[in-house]
Amino acid sequence: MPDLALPVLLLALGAGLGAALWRFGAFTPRAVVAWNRIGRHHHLTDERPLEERLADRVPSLARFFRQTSVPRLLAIANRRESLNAWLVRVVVYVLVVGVALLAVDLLAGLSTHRLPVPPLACLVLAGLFVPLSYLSLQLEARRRQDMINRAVAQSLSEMAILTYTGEYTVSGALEFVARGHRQPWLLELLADDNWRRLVAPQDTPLALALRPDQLLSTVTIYQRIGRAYDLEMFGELATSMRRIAEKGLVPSDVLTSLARAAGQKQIAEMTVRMEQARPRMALAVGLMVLPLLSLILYPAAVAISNAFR
Amino acid sequence: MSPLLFFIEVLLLIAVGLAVLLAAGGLGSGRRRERALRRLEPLLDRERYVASGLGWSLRVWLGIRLGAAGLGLLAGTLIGTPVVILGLGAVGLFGVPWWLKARAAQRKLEMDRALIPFMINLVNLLSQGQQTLNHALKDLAQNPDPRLAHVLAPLREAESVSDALVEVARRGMSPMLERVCVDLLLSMDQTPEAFVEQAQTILIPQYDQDLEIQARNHAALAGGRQNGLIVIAVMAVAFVVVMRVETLRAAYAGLVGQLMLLLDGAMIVGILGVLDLITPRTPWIRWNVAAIREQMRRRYA
Repeated sequence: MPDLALPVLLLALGAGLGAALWRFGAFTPRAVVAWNRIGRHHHLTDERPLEERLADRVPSLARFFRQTSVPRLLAIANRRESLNAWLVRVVVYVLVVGVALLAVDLLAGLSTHRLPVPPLACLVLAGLFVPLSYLSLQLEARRRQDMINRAVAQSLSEMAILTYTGEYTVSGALEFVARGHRQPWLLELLADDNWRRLVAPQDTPLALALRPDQLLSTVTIYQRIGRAYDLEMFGELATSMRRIAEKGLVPSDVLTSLARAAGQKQIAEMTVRMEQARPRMALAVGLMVLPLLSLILYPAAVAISNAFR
Repeated sequence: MSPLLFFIEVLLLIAVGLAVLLAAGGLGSGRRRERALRRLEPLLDRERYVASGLGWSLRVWLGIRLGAAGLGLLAGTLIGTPVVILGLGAVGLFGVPWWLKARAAQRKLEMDRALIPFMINLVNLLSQGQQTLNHALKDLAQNPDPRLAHVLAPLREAESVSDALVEVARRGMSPMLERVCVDLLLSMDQTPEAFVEQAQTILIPQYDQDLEIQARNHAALAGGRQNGLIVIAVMAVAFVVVMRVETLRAAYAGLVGQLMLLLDGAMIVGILGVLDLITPRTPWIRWNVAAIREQMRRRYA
């Protein structure tokens, strides 16, 4: 069979070169290039990145890009590093794993003077660290979202006590309880305008957005935090605060009802999760067949192999 | 040049480059050590939680864990094969605490259950209008429910009730008790009438709800544990049956047989891990009661 490696390599290189030439405008007509230059100068062209422009046209793509964006996940997980720092770190880890695997491969091959596993396989295996790092980041972000939601939901009664005498506003009470939590998830979000990490860049480019230096109401801030970080409880708090301001309701009464609703929701969620877990648990117990069979069948297999010998 | 030598050189160069990168990234800095310690803290906290649930100190609990592991290893050594030694050691180190954790969780739930009558009694005392919250708390601590006797002990001779509440939360190590202490601290400055109203409209209904979630959590964990026990019991019976038959036991005498036993053990641990993973539970927010006390004090500073 003829070796296809060289033609495939040439084809890939050709495709890469073609794509690079297209990207740098080698096939673009001169008139279009000139218009682009004039348009850019007068801010008449759309300068946003490709994914944002695509997201404008296809809403499902917008959701996908939003959910999978690494800078957003880094902000939600409260990691200080930038996208580039994260990428460098992942690459370093991939190289560390790759070198370790290659070293093991080399040590194993020293006696036979032949590598037992091709080096490329070691590098491919090390490359799996990239999706693993991404998944771990996503998991960390989801966990932080969940914990912040819980931190607010499980502090509503305390906020109701603090606002009962009118000594504290709802936002003051939230900051007070955030300082009293053993795990500072909520405090990290509220302190030092950390919430602006994700909220500000999304809002400023809009024509109708408020100026960055303009004062925002607490309701608007909570609403934006809820939307940007996907934190349901901040949305609920913002709605409740709006009701308090517009209808003149008593804050402690509103917070008590919210606490009751949040508790009921937790109980309902727990019931659903318990029902869902039942068949999974049965399946896990059923897996017991594997060690059981292995324990019983291994002596039989040994006896049969001895009989054939 | 031999290709193997060339390969070694490439490997060395990459390793040196990585060492430089890691050094520049500050792998050995104190921040990482801090982070490692912070990651270790939840583990220690879990051990403290179980120890307090059983009514023991952390030192006694860790001693029991190590003692059980040692006993397991000793029994394994007396029986013989390396796999049995390792297996019994693991049973001592993980199995015994796993079994005791159920008892700790049950005791914690009982303690949480006693908190609602405690709050109702507190409201009743204050409703009479003759006592402040501080005095009522001290009064109730003199003759408490036996399930709360240990944790309420600091309130009995306390000069400062807020300091005693911090100690109560530290002793109890239960999220619900911590919440009760926080609520009491926040209500310290209010009039008894205001506290009674708050307790009846906000706190007691909230604790009822919390208790229901706790009970469901406990039921789910107990179900998971029961499934785990079924797996362990069936496998233990199968193991004993196999080892009592001479011809079957002979197959496990060699190195491969021992490895097969290790593999079976790993599979059982894996199944128990999966069971633990799919058991639903609602995480609780833990309160730093001392920080709340400091904030309350700072309010008037």
